[in-house]
Amino acid sequence: MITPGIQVRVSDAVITTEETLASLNDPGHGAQILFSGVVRNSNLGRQVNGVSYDAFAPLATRTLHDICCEAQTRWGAALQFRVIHRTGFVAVGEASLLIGVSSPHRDEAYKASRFVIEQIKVRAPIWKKEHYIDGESEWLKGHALCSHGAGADA
Amino acid sequence: MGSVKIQLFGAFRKFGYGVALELPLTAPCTISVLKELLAAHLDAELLSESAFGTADEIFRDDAMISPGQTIALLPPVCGG
Repeated sequence: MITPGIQVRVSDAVITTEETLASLNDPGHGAQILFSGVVRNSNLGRQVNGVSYDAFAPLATRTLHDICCEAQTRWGAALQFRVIHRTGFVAVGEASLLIGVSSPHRDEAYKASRFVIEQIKVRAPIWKKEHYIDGESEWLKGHALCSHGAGADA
Repeated sequence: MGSVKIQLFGAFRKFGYGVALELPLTAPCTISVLKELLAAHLDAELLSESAFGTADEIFRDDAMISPGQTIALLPPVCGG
């Protein structure tokens, strides 16, 4: 599962934007997009302390890689992708997800970055449990993975 | 007697964290049948919205599972 220009990781280590930006280093690229998903302090009217992320890491890693491959197919094999998703407890204000995209021009970088985050939300086997300031916690509802015929593995 | 091991994630963690359920299984069956067998042991509503998979793929409901396999139970996802 090695594709030129694509590096993905599912990890409990803190995400650093510097490391991600430094690895996007094609001198022929004039655009770099860095999207950071950050844990916010409220959801549906409840005050949040943080979020615990659970993942089926091997399939999640494969899915992130597949999504980036699809983006390369759509917007060009020259595009570079770095995708890192956290697991474990992530406090309010910390990054749970980082998507770095590098491309020759900005248009495809913006489009590919948006594609990757939207696909992650509905396809990657990752789950989050919100922790509230009142001490309660709750697994959030999500998107059912397709298992009903053609495209089940898409 | 054979069995199938089922790894739990997300909201299913409440039924066992870090361990796999072991369901007796004497012959191959489809994912749909496996869901019916599990409904008595897990959250049936959540189970109906969930998929099964391995490190490499998500199974269709008509995919066959055999005794001795280990598979993952994947509730609706919400990464990001």
